[in-house]
Amino acid sequence: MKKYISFCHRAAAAIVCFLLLFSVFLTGTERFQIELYGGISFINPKDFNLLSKAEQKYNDIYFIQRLRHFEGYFVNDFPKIKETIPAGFRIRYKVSEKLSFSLGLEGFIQKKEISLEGSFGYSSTTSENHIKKYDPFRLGLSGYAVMGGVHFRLPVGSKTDIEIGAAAGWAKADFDFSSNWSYTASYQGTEVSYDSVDGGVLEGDGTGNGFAAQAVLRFNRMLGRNFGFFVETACTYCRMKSIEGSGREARIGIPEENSWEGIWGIKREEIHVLWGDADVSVPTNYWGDWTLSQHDRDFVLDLSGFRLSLGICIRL
Amino acid sequence: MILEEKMKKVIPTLILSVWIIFWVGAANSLMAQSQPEAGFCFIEENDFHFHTNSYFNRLALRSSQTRIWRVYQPADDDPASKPLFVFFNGGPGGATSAGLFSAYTGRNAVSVDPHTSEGSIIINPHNWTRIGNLLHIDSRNAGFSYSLMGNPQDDTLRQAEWDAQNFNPFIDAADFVRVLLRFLADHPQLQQNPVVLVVESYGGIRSLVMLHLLLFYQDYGNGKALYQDPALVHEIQEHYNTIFPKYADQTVPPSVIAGQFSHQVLIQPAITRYFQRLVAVRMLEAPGSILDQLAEETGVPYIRYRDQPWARENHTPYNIMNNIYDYLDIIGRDPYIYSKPEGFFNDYFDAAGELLTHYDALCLMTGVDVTGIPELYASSRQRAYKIKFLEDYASQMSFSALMGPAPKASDLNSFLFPCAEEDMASVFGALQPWDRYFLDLNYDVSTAFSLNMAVMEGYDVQYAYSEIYGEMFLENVAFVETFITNAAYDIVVYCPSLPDALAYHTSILNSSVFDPAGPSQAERPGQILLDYKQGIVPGSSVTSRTIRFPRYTNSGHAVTMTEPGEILDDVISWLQDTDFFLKQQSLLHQNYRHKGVKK
Repeated sequence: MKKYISFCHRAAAAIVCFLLLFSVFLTGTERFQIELYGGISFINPKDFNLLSKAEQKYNDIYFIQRLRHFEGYFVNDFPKIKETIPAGFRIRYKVSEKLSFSLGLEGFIQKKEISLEGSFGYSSTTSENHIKKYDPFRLGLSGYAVMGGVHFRLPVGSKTDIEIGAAAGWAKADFDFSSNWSYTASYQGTEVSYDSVDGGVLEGDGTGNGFAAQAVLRFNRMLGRNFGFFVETACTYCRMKSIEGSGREARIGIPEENSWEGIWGIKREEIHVLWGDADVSVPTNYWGDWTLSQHDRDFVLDLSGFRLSLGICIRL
Repeated sequence: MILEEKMKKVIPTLILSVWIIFWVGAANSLMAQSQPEAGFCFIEENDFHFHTNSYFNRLALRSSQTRIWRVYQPADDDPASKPLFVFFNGGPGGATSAGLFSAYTGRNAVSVDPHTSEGSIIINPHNWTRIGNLLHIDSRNAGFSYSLMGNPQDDTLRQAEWDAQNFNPFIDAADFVRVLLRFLADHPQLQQNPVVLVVESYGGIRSLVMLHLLLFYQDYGNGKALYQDPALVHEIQEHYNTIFPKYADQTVPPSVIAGQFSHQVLIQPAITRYFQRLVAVRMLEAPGSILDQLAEETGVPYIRYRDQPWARENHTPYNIMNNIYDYLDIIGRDPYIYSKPEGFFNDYFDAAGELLTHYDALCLMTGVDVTGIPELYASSRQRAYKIKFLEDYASQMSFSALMGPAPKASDLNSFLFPCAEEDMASVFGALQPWDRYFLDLNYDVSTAFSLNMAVMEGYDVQYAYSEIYGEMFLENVAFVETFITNAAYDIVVYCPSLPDALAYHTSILNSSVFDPAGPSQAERPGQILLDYKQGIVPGSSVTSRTIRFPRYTNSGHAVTMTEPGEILDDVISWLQDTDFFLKQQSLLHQNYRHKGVKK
């Protein structure tokens, strides 16, 4: 898997180099244009964000509901990834005044890391205090896509035009998460006191690839003979399945780490505890011990969404 | 030709040698079964977890290494054909050595002079070796058992050992299953013999968890049960591969497993402790109860909990029981046997414990020269620990997990400054301050059962409150014939409450009824009739079961101590009535046939 990832990175770097070198050779032909852009993508990788949602539900059933007779609250919410920061490079070949083709490379990255703490307790003749802490809880997502496109230009002035287009290609994405948690419980009774610390680190990552496509609508404005800017909106489609990755768990009190590799899927956990029940869907690539029977469905990394970007273009 | 001649001479000699070696080996093996044994069973670190269907939210724990003390006494005759009776006490943290081992079950017993409270060793006229082989086991860090860790001298690390990784009803029962299976594996002639658990007090919880682990063992590795212990499941499967070769590497049904673990004897047991207490305090506070009788007898009125000025509105059965304990304390009666003066029960344990920590007495009781046990020597106990705090004890202790009332200062003193360790030290060497040769009741263990990480994180393992133990017991009883004592003078485990307490498990039972008259012809009658819900127990079509429930009119908590002959006679009759000896022959015959061994 690592070899494969390394190969993908090398391939992407080679494409960028090729496009840059190619553009130098093309200077003066007036048929080529290079474009650089960056912006924001609004996405909703539901399955990936289940990592946060599940943790929220766990806290609710294992902590908040259990200790509902105690005073306390949680500070902060678990992060979700709803947007990424994309940046891209594109080289375009003008076939006619209205029609052009392009080849581009677009990358994106997003990381959300947060510290959370919930503290619940009571105090009378005896006292009890429970603290659950995540420091940090992190979600990370990155990737790139190589896409070829076709663009149709509609002039609305001498230096201004509107453009519609479509592109399709291949995308690769990496994600990771990390939860460094601790749970301390203390009891102070009339006869006895007790303190316990539980905790651990749970980490996982995945790499997927698949078909990507986008429909583009954009506004171009030339600021000189060979130089201009554009505002581009795009509806993107990209769904990746059969994502493989590794995982790692370390627990207090157990010196050895547990690590594994596996295909990501969604596990359905029907939690029954004395004080209530909960159904939790949680993404995982760990199917060891007794967990395989909880496999509910495949994990889909859905990077589809809406992109808004601002870029510059240079005619060669 | 010459070679052929030589071969003709050599081959018979060779065959004879092999034959002799084989039979010497077999004889050695048989001798091993027929000689008493005492020593330790080493249990390695084991990973296990508690979970509620969410793997990464499990409480992952690793138990520490421990050396569990066990004493084997073979049956009087033909041990290889006799069942194995496995004895243990409760506490939790109570020593079997000072309990059932000393109290009239083995070849010898400890007799305590009621005037001087001094113990002496006598030949037990009611020894259970008449009917089988005996194995007495001390639980982790109780009796002679002790545990091992990296740096026991580090107070913080050592204190952390008293937590859920080492002390909870499941790892405790798993320890016992491991000891039992390893003992059987080490004694091939006994390996397929029927096993009967004979337990007292908290031992009821331990035995029901043990039997559940053995009968429904796959649930403890496939995520179905709260407790998951894959290494234990593997070890149990290995045992069944030997005992039930027809099911090698397959799930053995509980009905088949019950062929080996078919009977249990429970002496004043905790089973479904919360409901037992709930019903007990209701019965004990009812008008005309034994407390009113005691009030009449002593002239000291019993003030019911609700009439106490300090009574709490939201009280638990445990609050009411403490009120009863306080009353018994005022009138100077022992809650373990209220016909006797206060301290009667604990004095026996103390006396037995003191006796056993004398080298000569230990040899006599076990029938073994214990100087041959390497793990007893201080030199092999560099990593050993047995107690949690070295000072400021009383302020650090909680007693909520003890079966009986909280100990008095004098009990704590005997715990802090154990007697007769010097005698053992003179033979085996002086121990580190955190180690002890013997503890008759380890209060630190009791505390750890009550207050630990699993309890604090909300796992349903607290035996004083959880309903799961009662349910597990009823599932076991569907397969296992059960004998429970109903002692007249025991307040700590007030057994008349048991039938109604079991009836609270409405998810499994339609009814649980006490029948004081049955079975017919019984010298000490009494039974509990259980009516099961249809199809409720996995692998069983049971609809009704009968628990033998004889009344012991002169006994308290330790029935074998006060009516040793009566209980042994009753157990023998009950075993006969429930076809135990027939089943035993059948199991032995079946396994010998499997192994191709002529008996």
